[in-house]
Amino acid sequence: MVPMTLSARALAVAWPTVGEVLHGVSLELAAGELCVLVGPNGAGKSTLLRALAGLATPSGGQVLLDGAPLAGFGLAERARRIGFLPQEVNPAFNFRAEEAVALGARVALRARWHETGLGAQGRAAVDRALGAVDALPFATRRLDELSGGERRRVLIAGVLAQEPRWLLLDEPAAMLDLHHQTALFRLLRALAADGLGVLCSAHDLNLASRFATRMALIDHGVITIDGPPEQVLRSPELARAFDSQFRLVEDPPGAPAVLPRA
Amino acid sequence: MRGGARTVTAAFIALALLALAIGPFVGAESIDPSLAWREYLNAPRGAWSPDARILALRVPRVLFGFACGAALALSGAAMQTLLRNPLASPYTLGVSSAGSFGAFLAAALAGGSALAWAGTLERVSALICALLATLCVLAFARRSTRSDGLILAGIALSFLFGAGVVILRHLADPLDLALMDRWMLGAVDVIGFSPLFELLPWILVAGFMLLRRAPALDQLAFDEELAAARGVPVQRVRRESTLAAAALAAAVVAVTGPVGFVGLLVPHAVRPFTGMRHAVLLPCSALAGGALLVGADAIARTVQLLGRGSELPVGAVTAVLGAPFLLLLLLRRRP
Repeated sequence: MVPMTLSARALAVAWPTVGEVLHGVSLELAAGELCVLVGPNGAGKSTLLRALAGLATPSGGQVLLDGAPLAGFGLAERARRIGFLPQEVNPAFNFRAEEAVALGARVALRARWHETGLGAQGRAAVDRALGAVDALPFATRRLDELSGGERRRVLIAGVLAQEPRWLLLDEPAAMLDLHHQTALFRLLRALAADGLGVLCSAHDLNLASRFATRMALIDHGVITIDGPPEQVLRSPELARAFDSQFRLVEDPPGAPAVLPRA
Repeated sequence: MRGGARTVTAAFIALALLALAIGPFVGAESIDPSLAWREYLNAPRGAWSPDARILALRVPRVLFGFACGAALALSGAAMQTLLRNPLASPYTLGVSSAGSFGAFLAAALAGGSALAWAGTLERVSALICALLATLCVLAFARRSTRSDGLILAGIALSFLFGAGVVILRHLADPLDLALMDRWMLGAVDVIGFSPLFELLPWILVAGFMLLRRAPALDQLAFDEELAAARGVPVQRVRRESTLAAAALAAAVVAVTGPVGFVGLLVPHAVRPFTGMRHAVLLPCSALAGGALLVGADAIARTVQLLGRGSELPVGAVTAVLGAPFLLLLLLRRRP
């Protein structure tokens, strides 16, 4: 049995003009986990997610998918296994919501270029994905007619429609209202329970800690602590990363939460 | 858009056939369709009535106009996606100024004044210059880290060849200037089938290259990083498709001069019907572009302004039809 993991081994990534952003990061994501990546702005969260998706060439170390180097997978094969949602998506044209999601569904279909239709299977995948993020009511609307949060949900649906085994989401909860934030994390936890490996970044530490099976803190390009959410929230590393600008409370007792200092 | 792709494509095919069927019978001289067709198809050339002779002149011109319109619209639809810019046209990367420069340079080097324009030498030179400009743009863009490197390199090359055109005009014989002006306006008034046969291989090869990449173009039109994550070899698709789209425009420009607006407008007019799927958008754009240019050329043949006995340049007609249409689109929603 091949181990079901997606992992970074001593991964270093440098961007032109910016320099090295990740300095030897090791992180192993297992199937069934919902791991939330937290850390200050510019710490390297997005770069790590991109590298795990195969979109950044490591300057050191490597990314392994089920034990094999990710670089060795074909582009199409990689896309069928790993679904990635960047923090910012800028469509050049005004797609309808369902068209945008269909772009994801096509990845799973293994369609040839001349097979232009989605087919019943693809349409079902689109509807499932739209339904999962409560976006069916505006499936036929155009993206610029949607609110920021609605757009974000459509984009998440697009990645879900890819039906990948690994989900890498860069701040999926940004712009979502409280109701849809919790609904999203409940969905991600359910997907993890179904056997997907989910890694996402988030800024809301409380939200993340309530749903994550595991949290990893990245600070100045290295992972400083990686473990159960309660442990990460109570850690001195977290206090250091955020300059102690929060107060730890227990609500309910035993479940730590953070409050911003005024 | 669900399930409507076939219906939409069928409608655009019908539009194209309609334009092709009516086109040959429209012009300054009216002809009897049934008589002209019968003689054109059956009677020996020597026995043709004037009607059949006029038809024989118009048929290749209409077919060539259709092919040019199709190529320009196809190129424009692809360019708008590749440059992720709804204002892009087949000429955005400098194909038209490079083509004009090539044609004028050949004419200048050939040395004759008032020589026959759109001769083989000018065509080949225009084509070579336009393709070289495109390769140059791609090479610069490849070395640039900017995401808008392609469009900026295109604009720079466009200005460079534009300057070349100005210099050649400055040096040209005054008699040639009128011909140069006429060339810059664009015209599809070809005689005989050979320009059509020269253009067809370009359309078939480049059209196939673009159509084969249709799913990748869908992803690129949405988001580049997402496209890469979904397995699209972004750089390769962009280079290959840009070259195909530019080659389409170059092959047209070399014969007709820069016919404006078709490549910019048609994709905008077609998208509301086809949606963003390039497998539908590209062929429908080609059909609509062909129909539009056949229609515009019919108007150009027919309208004789102020009793002047010469035809309007088709480029002027497409611009007159096109500009108000673009303004109308502007008042509607974002493309």
